[in-house]
Amino acid sequence: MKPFLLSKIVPPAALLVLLSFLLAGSSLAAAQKPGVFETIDVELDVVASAALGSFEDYWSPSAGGRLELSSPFYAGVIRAGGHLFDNGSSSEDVPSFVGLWGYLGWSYEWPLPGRFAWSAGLQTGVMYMDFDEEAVPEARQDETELGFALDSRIRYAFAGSWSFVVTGEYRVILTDREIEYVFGGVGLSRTFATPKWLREFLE
Amino acid sequence: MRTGVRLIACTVFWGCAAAGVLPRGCVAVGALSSWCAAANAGALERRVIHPDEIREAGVTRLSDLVFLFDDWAPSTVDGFSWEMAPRGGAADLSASWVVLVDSVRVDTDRFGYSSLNLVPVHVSEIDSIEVTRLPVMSHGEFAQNGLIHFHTRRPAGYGIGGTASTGNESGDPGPYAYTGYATPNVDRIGPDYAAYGEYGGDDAWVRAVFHRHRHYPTDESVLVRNFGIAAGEYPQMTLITGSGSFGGNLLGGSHRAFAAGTRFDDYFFFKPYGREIPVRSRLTTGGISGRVPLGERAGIEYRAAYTQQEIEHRPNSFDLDFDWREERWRGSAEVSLDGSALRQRYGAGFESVRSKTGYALSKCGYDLADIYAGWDLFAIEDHSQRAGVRLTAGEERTALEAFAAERWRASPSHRFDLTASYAETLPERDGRIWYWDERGYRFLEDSGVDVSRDKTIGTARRWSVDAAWSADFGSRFAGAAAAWYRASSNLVLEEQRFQFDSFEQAFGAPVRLVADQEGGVAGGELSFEARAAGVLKLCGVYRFEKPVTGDEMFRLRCDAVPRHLFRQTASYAVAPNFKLWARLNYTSAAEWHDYDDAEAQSDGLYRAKVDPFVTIDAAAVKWLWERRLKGSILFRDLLRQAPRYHPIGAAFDTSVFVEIEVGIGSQER
Repeated sequence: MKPFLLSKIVPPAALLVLLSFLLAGSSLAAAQKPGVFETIDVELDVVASAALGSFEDYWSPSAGGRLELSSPFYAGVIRAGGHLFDNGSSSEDVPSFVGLWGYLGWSYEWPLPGRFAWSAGLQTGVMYMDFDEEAVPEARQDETELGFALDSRIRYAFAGSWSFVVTGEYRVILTDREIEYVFGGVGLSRTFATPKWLREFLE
Repeated sequence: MRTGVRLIACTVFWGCAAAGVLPRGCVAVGALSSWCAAANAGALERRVIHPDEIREAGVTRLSDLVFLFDDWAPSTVDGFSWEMAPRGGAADLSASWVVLVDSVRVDTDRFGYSSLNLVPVHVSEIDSIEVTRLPVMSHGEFAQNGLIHFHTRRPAGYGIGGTASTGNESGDPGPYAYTGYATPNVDRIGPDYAAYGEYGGDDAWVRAVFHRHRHYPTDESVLVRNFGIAAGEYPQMTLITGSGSFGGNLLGGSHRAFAAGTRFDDYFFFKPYGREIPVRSRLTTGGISGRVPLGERAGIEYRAAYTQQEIEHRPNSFDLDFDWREERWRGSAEVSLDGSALRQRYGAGFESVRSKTGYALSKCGYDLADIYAGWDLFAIEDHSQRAGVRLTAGEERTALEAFAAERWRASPSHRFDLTASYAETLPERDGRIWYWDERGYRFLEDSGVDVSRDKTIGTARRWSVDAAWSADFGSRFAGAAAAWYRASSNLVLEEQRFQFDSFEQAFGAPVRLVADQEGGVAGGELSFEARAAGVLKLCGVYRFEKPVTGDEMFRLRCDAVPRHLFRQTASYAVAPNFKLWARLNYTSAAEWHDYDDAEAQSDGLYRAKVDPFVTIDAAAVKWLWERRLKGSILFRDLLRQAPRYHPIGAAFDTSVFVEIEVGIGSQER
C-alpha cells in the first residue's frame, strides 16, 4: 500500500468532510430553501483559465464561456453544464485544441450575511478535445477523457431572481499525464420555477 | 503528479457519503462504521443479491457481478471474462462453480474457462441471485465449489424496455500525444445495448430479450498480443445474445421453458497455449423446468437442458482452429415429500455429451447417470440437519458426492452451522481440455504446445469442513465468523513454466501434467451487515486463506489466490429515487509461479507477482419519470491504483461507466 493514503488523502478529505458537517449544521436551521427540483437556475459565466504542471509548458488555456443549469437536490444543489475554452499551443510542434468540459456536479450552499451565499462542491465530467489543425491526422483530431473538479462560488442575489456569481475551480483531467487547470469566473444567473411536468419527471 | 486527482477522488468518495448524510446527521456514518468494524463477524453460507443492489452498484454485465461476490477472489486478463475463486477454489481447477438459471444448469465453460457473460440472462431480467459458498446439492446438481443461481423475473402485464451503457477508462495521452510524453491510446468500454419485450398474465408469461456487449482491450500489453495474432483485424470482443422464455401454470404446477443463442467473437485467453486466440464461440441452449404437486405435501420437480457449444475458427495469424463442437444433454427429476419434521427428495438424472471435431477421437462422448437424495430434518428443537448424496455412474467409474450440515439455533439471535462434504469428480466432469486430449483431441500439439503426462486423469477427491457462527444484534446489525478446510487429492495439475517471446510479445511453454497431487487449504472469514434508519446499509467481509498441507506444486498453485481480501460496501438511499453506493476493496498480493521467468525475460514488463491494491469504487443511481427511466454512473478505482488481476492481464485505470435504462409497463419499479 502506498503511503499517500494516510499522508495526503485522508487528512484533507477528513478535514473537508468535517468542515462541511459543521457549516452545514450551522446553516440548516437558518436556511429557507426551495424543495427538490422546485427551481432551475440558468447561469452564464465568463471564465479565465490557467494551467499547472507540465501542461503549461506546451499550452496556454484562454478565457472561455460556461453555461450551467442547476437545481436544488435532495441535499445541496445538482449542476450540469458545459465549459468551452481554447488551449493555444506555445510551440509549433504541438497542435492547439478547443476543450469542451461537459460535467455533472454537486455542491452545498451556505447562506452568508446580506444576500450572499457561498457554495462548494465537486464535479465529474468528460473533456472533449478537438484538434482541428491540418497537421493532425483525421483519426486523431478529437479525444475525450474523464476528469474531476472541485469548485467554489460566491453568489449575490439582486433584482429578485437574478444573481451575480464569482466562481473558482480546480480541475484534473485523467490523461496518462494529468492535465491540471485552475479557473476563475464571473457570471449572471437567473432562477426559474420548474414546470410541473418537468419536476414530476425529475423527482 | 497524481496527488491532485487522488485528493479529488477521495473528496468525491467522502463527498458522496456526506451528500446523503448531511441533512440527517453525518456523524452517523463514521460512528456506525467504527462500531461495525469493532464488532466484526463473518460469513453466511448463502447470499441473495437483489436487483436494487445490482443497480446501485452500476452492474451492467453479468461478469461485473464479481464485484458483488464479496468473498470470491476474482482474476481476469481482459476485463471482460472473469474467473473467480471461492473458498479454497484455486489449486484444484478440476471442478468449477455451477451456474443455474431458474433451476436449470447452464453450461458455459470452454475447456474449464468460464465467463458469466455467456450465461443467457441479461441484468434487466434478474429477480435475484443466490450465491452459495458451501458445498451444496441443489436441483439435482452437486456444487462443491460454489453455486450461482439466477432467478429471473416473472412479468406482470405488458412491458418493454432497454438499456444502453458505455464506459471510459482514463489514461489516454490526450494532447500529450504530440509531445515527448506520448503514451498509447486507451479504448473505450462498450457500448452495450439490450432490449426486451414481455407479457405476463395470471397463468402464463413470455419474454424475449436481446443484448449486445462490446469490449476492447484497454491495456497496451494485451493490445500488442492481440494485434500480433489478429491477422489485420482491430482487436475487439463482441457478444450478442438473443433469448426467449415462457412459462405458465399447468396441471396444478408451474413450468418454464427457454431457448437462447449467443455468438461471442472473443480473444479467448487459453492458458495452456499461453495467450489469447481469436475465436467465434457459439452457444445454443434450451431447456425446460417445472414442478407439479402430488397432493398437499408431495411434488415432482424436473428440469432438462440441451446445450451446444462451438468454438469456431476466426482469422488469426497462426491459423489456429479449435475445430470443436460439443453437444450436451442433461436432465433430472425428483420427487419431494414434505413432512412437518422431515423433507425428502429422491431423484435421478443423466448427462450425455457428444463432441464433434476433425481430430480423430478414440471416444467422441460419454454418458453419465445419477441418482440422488436429499433430506432436511427438523426433529429436534433448535436443531436442523440437512444432508444430500449423489451417486454418479460413468462408463468406467462411479463417483460419490455427499454433504451433511447441522444448524443449531443456540438462541433466537445466535446460530452455529457445521457442514462437511466429500466429493469425487470423474474425469468426464474435469472440464479441462486434458480429458479430450487423452482421447485424441490434438489441438495443443498441432498448435506447437508439447503436452506430456505421467498418468491419465483419474477421479479427483475433495473433503471439506465449514464451521460458522452467525448472530443478529438487534434488528440493525448482524455478523458472522467462519472457518473452513478443503483437502483435495488425486489431482492432476498443470506444470507450465512460461517463456517470453520478445518478438511475438507473448508467452508459451510445454505443459506437463502432474498426477497424484494433493493438498489442503484452510481459511477464515469475518463479515458484518449493519443498517441504520432503513436507508443506510454497511457490509464488510474479510477473508483469509492459506495452503496448510500438500505437495509443493499444490502450494505453489495456491499462491495465485490472494491470501487476504477485504471489502466494505456502503449504500445509502438518499431518497426513494436516488441512491449512492461505494465500495472499498483491499486485495493482497498473489503470485503466479507459471510466470516466474517473465520478469527477467521481458525486462520487467511482466511479473509473476501481482501487487496488492486498494481500490475505491463509487456509484450513484437516479430514477426518473416515476421510475420508468434510470440513469447510473459508476466510478472504478478512484484512487488511480490501476489494479492488475493477472500477471499478463490488463491494469485497469480509473474508469467511469454510465448506463441509461428505460422500462415501460411490467418493468416499472
